[in-house]
Amino acid sequence: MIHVRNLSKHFGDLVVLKDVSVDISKGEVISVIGPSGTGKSTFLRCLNLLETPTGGSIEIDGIPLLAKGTHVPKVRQKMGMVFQSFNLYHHLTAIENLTIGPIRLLGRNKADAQKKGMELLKLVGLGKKADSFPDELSGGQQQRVAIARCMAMDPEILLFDEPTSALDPTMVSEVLAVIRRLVREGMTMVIVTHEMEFARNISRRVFYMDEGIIYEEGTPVQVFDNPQKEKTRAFIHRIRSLEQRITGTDYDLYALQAEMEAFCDKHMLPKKVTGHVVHMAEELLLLQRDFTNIRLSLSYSEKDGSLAIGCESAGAPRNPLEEGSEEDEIAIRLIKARCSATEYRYEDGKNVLMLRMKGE
Amino acid sequence: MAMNAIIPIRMKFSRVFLLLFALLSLIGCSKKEAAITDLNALSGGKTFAAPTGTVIDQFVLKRFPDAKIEYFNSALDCALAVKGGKADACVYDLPVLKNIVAQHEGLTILPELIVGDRYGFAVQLSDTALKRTIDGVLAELKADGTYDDMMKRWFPDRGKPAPMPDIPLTGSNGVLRFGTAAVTEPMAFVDANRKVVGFDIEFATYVARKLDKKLDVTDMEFGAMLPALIAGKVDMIGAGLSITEERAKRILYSESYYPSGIAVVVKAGASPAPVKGPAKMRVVDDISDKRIGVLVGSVYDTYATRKYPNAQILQYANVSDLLIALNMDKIDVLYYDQASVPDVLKTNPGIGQLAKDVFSIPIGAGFNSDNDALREQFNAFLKEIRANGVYDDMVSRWMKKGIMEMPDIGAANPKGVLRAGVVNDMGMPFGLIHDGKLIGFDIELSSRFAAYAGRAYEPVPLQFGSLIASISTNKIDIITASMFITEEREKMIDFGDPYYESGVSLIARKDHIEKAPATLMATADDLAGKKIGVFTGTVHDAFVQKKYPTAEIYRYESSADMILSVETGKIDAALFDSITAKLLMKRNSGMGLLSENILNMPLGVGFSKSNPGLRNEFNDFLREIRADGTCAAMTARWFTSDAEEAVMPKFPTFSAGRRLVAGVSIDDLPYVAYMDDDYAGFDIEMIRSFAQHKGFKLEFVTMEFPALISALAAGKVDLITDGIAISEERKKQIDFSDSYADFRTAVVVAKKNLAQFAGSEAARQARKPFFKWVADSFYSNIILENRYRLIIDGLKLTLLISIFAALLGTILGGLICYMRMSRNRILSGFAAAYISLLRGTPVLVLLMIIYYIVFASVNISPSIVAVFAFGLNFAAYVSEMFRTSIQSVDKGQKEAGIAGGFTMLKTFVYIISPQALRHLLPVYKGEFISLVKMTSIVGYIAVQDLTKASDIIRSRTFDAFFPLIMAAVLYLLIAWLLTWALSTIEITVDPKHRKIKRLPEANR
Repeated sequence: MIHVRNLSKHFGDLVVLKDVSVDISKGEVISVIGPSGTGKSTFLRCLNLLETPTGGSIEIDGIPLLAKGTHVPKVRQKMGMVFQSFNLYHHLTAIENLTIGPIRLLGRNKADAQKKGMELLKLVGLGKKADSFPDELSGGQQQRVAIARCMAMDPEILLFDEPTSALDPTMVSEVLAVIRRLVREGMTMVIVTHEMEFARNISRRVFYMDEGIIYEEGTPVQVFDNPQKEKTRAFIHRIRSLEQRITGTDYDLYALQAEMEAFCDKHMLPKKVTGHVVHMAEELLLLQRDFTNIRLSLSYSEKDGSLAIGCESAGAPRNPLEEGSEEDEIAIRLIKARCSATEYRYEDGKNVLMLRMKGE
Repeated sequence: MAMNAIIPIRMKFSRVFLLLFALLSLIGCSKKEAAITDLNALSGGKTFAAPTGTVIDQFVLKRFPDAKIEYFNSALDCALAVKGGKADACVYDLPVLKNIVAQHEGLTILPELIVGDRYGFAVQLSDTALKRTIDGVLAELKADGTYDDMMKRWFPDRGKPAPMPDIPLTGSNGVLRFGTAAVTEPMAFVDANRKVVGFDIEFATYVARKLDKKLDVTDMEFGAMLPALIAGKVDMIGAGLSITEERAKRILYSESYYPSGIAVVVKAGASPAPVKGPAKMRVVDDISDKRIGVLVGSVYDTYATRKYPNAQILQYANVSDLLIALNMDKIDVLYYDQASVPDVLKTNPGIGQLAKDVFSIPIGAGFNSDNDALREQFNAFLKEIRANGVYDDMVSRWMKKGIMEMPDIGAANPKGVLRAGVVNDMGMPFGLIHDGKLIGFDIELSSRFAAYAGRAYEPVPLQFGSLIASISTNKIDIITASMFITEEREKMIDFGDPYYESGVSLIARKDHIEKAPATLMATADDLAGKKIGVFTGTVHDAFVQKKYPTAEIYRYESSADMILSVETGKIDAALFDSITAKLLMKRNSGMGLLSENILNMPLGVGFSKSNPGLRNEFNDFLREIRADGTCAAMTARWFTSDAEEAVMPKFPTFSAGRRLVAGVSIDDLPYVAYMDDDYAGFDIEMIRSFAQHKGFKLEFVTMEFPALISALAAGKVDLITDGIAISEERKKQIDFSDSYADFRTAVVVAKKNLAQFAGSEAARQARKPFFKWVADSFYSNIILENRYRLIIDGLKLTLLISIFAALLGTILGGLICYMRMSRNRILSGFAAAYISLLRGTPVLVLLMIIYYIVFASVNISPSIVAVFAFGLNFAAYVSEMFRTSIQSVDKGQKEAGIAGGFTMLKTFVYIISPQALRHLLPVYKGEFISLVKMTSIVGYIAVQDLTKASDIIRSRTFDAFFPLIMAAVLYLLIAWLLTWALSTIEITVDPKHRKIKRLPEANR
C-alpha cells in the first residue's frame, strides 16, 4: 500500500530524515513513537507531501507521488490526515466541515453528503453538534469532528499526527476510542503518538524513530517489552537522567546537591526520597579517593519509579564499598542499607559503581 | 431647593471674608516692616544669619555687639532665612551674596560692607615673573573692557551667571597649573556640565593665554590650596582668596582683582512703583513722558534730552544692553538706526517699530582734527566708489538685502597700518560679529579705504563712548562706527564727507504700541504693502508682483473664496475683472471699488501652437461678426447691460461634423458662467456661434483656470476661452486669436477700508435674521437657475467614479496581492514596487500625470481617467489589505485543505478567502470611504463632480457657506450609505450570523 524508499528531508543544514525506507501493507496499523524532534511528524507529513522530501521515493497504492505528472491532490483525497491542532474550517459548522470535501471534490450532491455526514457525526458521537461552529466545541469534540471529516472522503489511508497531544487529559480517551473503532473497521493507519499504552494495544507494528531514522521496529511486544537498543529502552522506560562532573577536590558540593534536588523536584519525587538521594551522593563522594575525574549520574525511570545513582571515577581499580578504610565504615553501611543492589566493575581505566535505590 | 441655593452663597461670603482678612493682614505687615536701607538700621538686637564654621560672626559681633546670630549650613540657607523672615539680615562674602541675590527675588545687598576685603591670586614667593604677568593681564583686561564684560557675565543683576566663554588656548609653551577650590559661585564653581568655571577660572585662562600655555585646573579643598602652592604642585592659586598679611609671608599675591568684603543682605523694600502707567504709545510725541533708552554719548542722547525734557533718559553703554533693557521693560522706547531695525525686529519678536524717520542725520567717518591728509584721502576714496558703483553695491548688499558676507579686501603690499575705530555690537547692517568675524557696512567701508590707501587694515573694537577720545589721542586713525555728524562732535574731531544718511526709528515693546487703525485706502497706490488677492495663474499675479513689490500676494482658485477673504479681512484687496467686480458689488453691499481700471489687457481665445488652421478660421470668424454687427450685439448683451439679465440666444447643436472641444473654467459672468443648467456668457456665445458658423460639433470641458493652458498644450482641448488675457508669457506656450474684447481689472476692497466710504453707514453691513438668511441662501444656491441639477449631476458622477474605481481597484488589488505573495521574485518585486510607488504618490499628482502625460494624445473621457487613477491608487492599498487578511488566517487551515485533497486554488476559494474576508471588510470599508472623499479632486481634470458643482455655484453666488456645507452633508450621506451597505455584507459573511438566520428554519 505505502512504499517508502530512501526518504530524506533536510531543512537547510538540518537533517531531519535520512534514508528512511518502509513498507506498509493494507490494513496495517502503524504507531510511530520516539522523542520529540526526531522526525516523526516530518515523516508523516512527507507521506502526503505536506512537506516536500529532499530525496527518495514514495509510492501510494502503486502511484509514485514524487513523479512528475502525478495529480497529488487526487491521491490526498484517499489519505485523510488528522492534525494535532484539529484544523477544522473555522467558518463552517461541524456538518459543513464534513460535507465540503465530498461536495466540492467528489461531486456528491448536497443531500447525500449531508446524510453521510450526519451518519459519521453520530458515529463519533456528535450527532447533536452538527450545527455548531468549531469554536463552540471542546478540543476532544473538535478532534472527533476532524476524524469524521477525514472519513467523509472515504479514505483508504488515515494519517494521525499526534491526535491527542493538544487535548486535556480528560478528553484523550474519547478521541482514542474513536480511533480504536476505526482500527476495528480495518483501515490502514499511521499514527504518530505519545500514548504508549494505546500504541501497544492497537498497532500491528511499532516504529521507534530517533536520529532521523527508524531506529528500531517490531511488534508492540518486541518493542515495548524487549527493546534491543539502549535508546529505545531508555525511551520505553522513560528514563530521565542527570549527569554531573567533578574535576578536582574543591568541587562545590552544595551546588551539586541543589541540582540533584531540582532534578528530583522536577520528577515529583517525595521529599524523603530526595533526601536519601542527596545523602547517598554525599556519602558516595566521601568514599572517593581520586577526584581528578568523577562522573556522577542519577537516573529515574518514570515508568517503574526506580532510581539509580552511578559513579565513575578515574584511578586504580578499587571498589569503594569493599576497600574502604575504617572511617568509611559508617558511610558504606549507610549506602548499603539504602540500596537494593550495588554493582561494581572496572572498565576502560575507570571504577564504575552502580547503586540501585530501594523503592518505597 | 432653597437650602441648596443658599449654601453656595454663604460659602462665597466666607471666602470673600478670608480674602479680605488676608489682604488686611498683608497691608499690616508691610506697614510694620520698614525696609532696611543702611547698615546702621541693623543695630539694636537684630537677628543675623551666618553660615556655621566661619569667622564672620566675629566681625558681626564686633560691629553690632547686641546682635543675635543664627547659624545655618550655607550662605544660601542664610539668605533664604532672611527672605522667609526668620532673620533680619544675612552676612557673607560679597560675591557669593551678589550671586544669591541675583537668583532670588525680594532680597537686596546693602551698599555698605561690614568689613572690606580684597581678593588676589597667589604664586610662589619666588615667582615674581608670574605675579607680574598676572598683574599685567589684569591691567590689560581692565583697559580693553574685558574686565567689565567679566563682571557682567559673572555678576548679572538678575539670574544665573552667563556661561563661560570659550577661550582657545594653543599652549605651545607648556602648562599653567592652576589650583582652585570650586565651591564659591561665581568665583570658582562647578557648572551644570561638571566643568570648573567662574570669574577666577576665566581670569586664569587669560593668564595662560598671555603666557601661551595650556591651563590645567586642579580642584582641591580650600585649605589645601596654600600647601599645594608652596609645595610647587601648582603654579598659581585663586578661589576668592582674601589677601591677608599672614598669608603674604608665605606666598606672593597679585594685585587685588576684586574688592570684596563681608556684605549684608536684607529683604528688599517694596519695589518702587512703575515710573509711568501703561499708557500706550501711538505717535512719536507720546514718548515725551516715557523712559527713553539711548546710547551714552550718542546723538540720540542729545536729541532726546533737548526734545523731551520731561522724559526719563536712560543711558546705556552698548546696543545689546539697550535691547535687553527694552525687552525687560526697563525702558519704554529707544532710538534705533533705521537701517538696523528689520534685523532687530526679526530677532526680537516682542518688539515693534513705533515710528520711523523720526529724524535723519548724515553719517560720516571721523578723523583727528590734525589729520587733514587722511580725511581728504577718504573723501577722494568716497568719490571714487560712488562713481564706480562699489558704493551702490555695498548699500544694496548691506542695507537692502541684508547679506551677511564680507568681500575679501586687502592691499597688495601694505605700507603702514590703518587703525579703524569700530563698534562691534552695533548690529546689522553696520558692524557686528558674525560667525566669529567682524563684518558690516562700516567695516567693509573702512577696510576698502585701507586697501585704497595701500595700508594694512586693523579694526579696533571700542565702546561707542570712547571713540572720540581714542581718535583725539591718535590711538586710532579713523572712526567708522555709524557716527552721526553733529555740531558738538565737529568741535572735537573732523568728519569726512557723509557716507550714509540714516533715518532714525523708535522701537518699543509691541504691547506698548497702540495699533493705529488700518489706514484707509484712497487710490490704487495705497495697495503697496497690502495683502492682495489674485487668481492663480492669471496675469494679475505677475502684474501685482511687478507693480507692488512690497505687497503680499494671496492666490485663489475661485472668486467666491477670494471675495470671502476680502470680507473676513484675510486680504485687503482683490483684483477682479471690472465687469465681474461690478456684478459682485451688486450682490455684496459691503464691498467697494478702489479702482476700476488698474490694468487693461486684450482678451483672446487660446489655440494650440500646432493648430494654426483653427486659429485662422476663428480670426476670420471674428472679423465677420465684427463686420455684421453680431459682435456689437453680444458686447451690449454681456458687457454693457447687466449680464445677469442677459439671455443666451439658442444655438442648434450639431451631432455630426468636426469635433471641437473648448476648455473653460467657469470663472463667472460675463465670460463664462453656468446658468439655468447650461453654459452661458460672452465667450460661450462667441464659441457657440463660431461652431455654428463653421459646422463644428462643439463640446465644453470644465477645469481649473491654471489647468487650461496645460490642457491645451496636451491636446485635451482644441481651444480655451474664459476671459484669458493675452500676455507675452502665455504667447510662448500657446497661440492667441485676435483680441475679441478688452479686459479691465478692478480692485475690490471692503467698504470699511475705503476712504470714500469712511464713516458712512453703508460700510457697516446689515445683518439679516438667521432664518431669513438660510432661506435666501437655500433659494439662491439650490433653486435659482436650476442649480440643484448641477448638484445632482455632480453627485451621480462622484458616485459612479467612486464605485467603478473601487471595483477596478479591488480586482487589480487582488492581482497585485497574488503577485506580491507569489514565490516568483520578479512578480513579487514588481508588486512591491507598484505598492510603494502608488502609495508614495499623492493621488492628485497621479491623476494629473495620467490625464496630462499618459493619456495626453488619447481622446478619453476625464471621468474614465479618474476611475483609472483612483483605481490604481486604491489597488495599492487594497492589495496590502488582502495580503494581511490572508496572512491572518491560521496556517493550519491551509494545511487541512491541502491534506484534504483540495488543490491550492480550491483551498483559497473555499477555505482561506471566506475567513480572510472577515478580517478584510472592516478596513476595506474605511478605505472605500476615503476613496469617495478623495474623488473630490477630480475637478482638476475637468470632471464636474459634487465638489466642482458646489464650486461652480459658489462662483455665481459668492456664498461660501451654503454650498460648502451642502457638499459636506452630501459626502457624509454617501459615506454613511456606503458604510451601511458594506456593514450589511460584513454581517452576511459572519458565519455566526448565518447560524442565527438558520435557527428559525431549524425550529420549524
